[in-house]
Amino acid sequence: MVVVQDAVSGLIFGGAYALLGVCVVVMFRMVRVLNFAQAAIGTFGTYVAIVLVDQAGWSYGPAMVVAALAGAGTAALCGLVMASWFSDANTERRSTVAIAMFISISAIGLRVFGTNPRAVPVLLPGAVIRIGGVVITAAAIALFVATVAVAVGVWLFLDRTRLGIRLRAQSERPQTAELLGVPARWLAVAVWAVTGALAAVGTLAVAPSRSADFLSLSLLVIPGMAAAALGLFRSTWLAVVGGLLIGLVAGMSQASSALSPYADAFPLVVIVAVLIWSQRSQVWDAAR
Amino acid sequence: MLRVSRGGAGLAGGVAALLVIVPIVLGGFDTFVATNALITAVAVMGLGVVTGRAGMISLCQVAFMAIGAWVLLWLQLHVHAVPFIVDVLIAGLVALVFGVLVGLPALRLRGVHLALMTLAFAATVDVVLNAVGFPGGSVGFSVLPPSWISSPRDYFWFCAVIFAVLAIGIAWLNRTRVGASWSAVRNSERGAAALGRGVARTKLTAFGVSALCGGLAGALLVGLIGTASETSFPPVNSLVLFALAILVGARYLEGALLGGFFFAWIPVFLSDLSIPQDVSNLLFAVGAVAGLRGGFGAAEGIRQAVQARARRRREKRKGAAPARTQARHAPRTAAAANRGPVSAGGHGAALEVRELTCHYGQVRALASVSMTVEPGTVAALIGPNGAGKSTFIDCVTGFVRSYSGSIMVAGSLLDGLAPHVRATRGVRRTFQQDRTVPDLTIEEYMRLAVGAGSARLSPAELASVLSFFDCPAGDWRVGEVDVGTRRLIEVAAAVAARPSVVLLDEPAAGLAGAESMRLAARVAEIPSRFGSAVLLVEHDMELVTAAASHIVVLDFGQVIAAGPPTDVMAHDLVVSAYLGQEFVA
Repeated sequence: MVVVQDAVSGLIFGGAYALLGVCVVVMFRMVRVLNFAQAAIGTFGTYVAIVLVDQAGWSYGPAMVVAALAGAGTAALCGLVMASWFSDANTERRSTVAIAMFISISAIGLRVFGTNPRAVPVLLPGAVIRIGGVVITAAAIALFVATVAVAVGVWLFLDRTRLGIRLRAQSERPQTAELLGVPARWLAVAVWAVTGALAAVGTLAVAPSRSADFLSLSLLVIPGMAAAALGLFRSTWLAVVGGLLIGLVAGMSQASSALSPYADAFPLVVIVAVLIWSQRSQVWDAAR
Repeated sequence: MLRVSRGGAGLAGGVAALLVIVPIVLGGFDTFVATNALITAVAVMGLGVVTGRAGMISLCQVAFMAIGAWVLLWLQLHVHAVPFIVDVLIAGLVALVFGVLVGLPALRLRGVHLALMTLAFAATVDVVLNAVGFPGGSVGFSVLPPSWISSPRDYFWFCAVIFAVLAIGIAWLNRTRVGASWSAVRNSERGAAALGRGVARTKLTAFGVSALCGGLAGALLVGLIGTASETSFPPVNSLVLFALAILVGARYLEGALLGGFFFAWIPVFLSDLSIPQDVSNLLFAVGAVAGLRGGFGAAEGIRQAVQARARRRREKRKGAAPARTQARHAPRTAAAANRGPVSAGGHGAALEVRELTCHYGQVRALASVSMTVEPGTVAALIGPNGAGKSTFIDCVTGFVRSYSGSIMVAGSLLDGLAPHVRATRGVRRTFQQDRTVPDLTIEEYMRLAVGAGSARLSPAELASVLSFFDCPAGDWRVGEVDVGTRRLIEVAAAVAARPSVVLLDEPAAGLAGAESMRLAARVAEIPSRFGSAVLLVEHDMELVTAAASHIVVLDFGQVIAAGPPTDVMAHDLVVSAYLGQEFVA
């Protein structure tokens, strides 16, 4: 029962990883960038909410909305830089720019919000659900439901709507889309903004359970990317499953005092295993 | 043997003088910062190898520093008999081992996948070190360098010597085939293998050297500060160093120094101006974005501008033609040079292929193809698109190894060997796409292809090969010449290695008619001049009939005709394969 409890307590992490993983997949498919700055963008929004609740006395709901907007705004700015200066660059170079954005955002974040630890607001504090002796926080359930909803929404939109399919087609050939009169640049910025908002919600939900400092929240991008890797950077469904799985394993490892300090090393195992397996036949850099 | 250009010698001398003078001029605190800058420069220099030279994104340089620091602390705490400098070297070597381990996945992972893997490694090292702690951390253990380098000034010089040794070592490697291979692999792995360079070894040496630099830097940093803690090597700093390496152009000596200088001194400058120190990271990141917009690296831009100016001045003095050297060889008629075998090879056929069959899934690309290329001759392999010509070359050169049948070059079996091994056993190829290495000079590229030791290319030979193929002088960078000329350089490099047989995959693609005929004359002369038999794959029938004495025709993976050009061109099956059934009388 203790193991089950530990696993369930990993659910909140899993939800956040899954949400970040979905964002990474969407960004990779739609705007051709492995967004290393995904969690940093989310963290920026999260800190806005923390300040609003901690210092301005806002309640959680409105603060979360502002956090999402702040995440969307930060991401849109990044997207604008990317779309304006690096629209023709390959994925590798665009992802390198994302690394620079990670550094910029965390530098600005540390400057604006400081390094002192802050009281992080908790969604629905004290609200828990008991199932046969296992305690699940309401926040974990809310995040889990939200993540699944997002994954379903993304899937429905991209695979089942006309606009989504057109968007996917255009993301492969942005210049062709521009020639056809599609505002590819603004669509790309919109994709950035939406994922920025989602990342902000995800990091805000998980912040109370982590050491809430700007850098360690920004590095949540690593488990997020491990989740995305489990979806082979293509499937939002598998990214959700992957994120939850990584969260559950991290939760379970808390049960063992020998393993718990190494819980955060698990994403490396996932990343190495999945990537090497999926790329095992890529002996050469070019097909011929 | 290290040949150094005047500019290079001047730069090295200037840097050396600077390193000697700096601690004499500076005060105590500034010497401390300068030492820190130098140590960071060592780490950045490593990034210059793996990322700048070999083109692999490495986001774990600070993790290698942490490993080096941990090892040095452990050795200092537990092993007393060994001198400090030996401990530093061991720390570097342990990091090197980790570097090779991190490099192993890079044999399959590339681009953003590799970037993600290295970042995850950096985070994992941080997690592990947080759990394990640094040796002696709990008891307040502090490393004290031995008395001969215990003063800040002496320690700076100690670090300067290590920096200099590494810089010279890397400069030396850059001039050898190891360094040229880094550039070749960055450009194209297939291209590198075709030149006889193992891709795996090349990538692992790059990661190893890079990690060695990181490990040494970490150990030196502990020697400077005395201790290390969990917060000394945050994984984010790996990203910052990476951005910095892009910003400064870390593959060059001055770039690495500039990187160390920025990393150590900008925070100090900022705090003097009462601007918070962490703004420096923002500056590096913004600088990196600017660097990515305009190409890679400040040092690179400056160097290329200086080199281009120097060459323009030189060309003006000489009054030489800017593009190609004038052809000194009057074009000879047709294939006069190679009718009749020339004594070369001497182990039977230059290339003998028996019953070669190759499938891609359900598709049979080659069905029991047998052919022989005699020494001293030019043979041609022709056929419509999709006939299996390129697959044939891929099989012979080892890029496709899932075939049945046997391939023998100059009497030795090649089956089962990797492409780079086959290249050194006497079979070379060129590619349909341009796979020359734009980073290298033509001379460096030729030397990479030809190899070291007894095969080494003498300056006279180099000049003669280049002028034979109408290539520009050896000091031009490959990236500066037009694509058509690069194809000639590729052919020149392949034959300069004097293989038993050279396989040319559509060498005339993209050449104008007259140029293509000139190439035909050159190709026809390859056997007598270089002793290599030639197998020419080409669509240009004029070139084929002008250069080859024997033609093999493939269609749907099968040999449908073989023989002298006139016979083959008249063959019914060949006409129908090329033009359709109705043209056959």
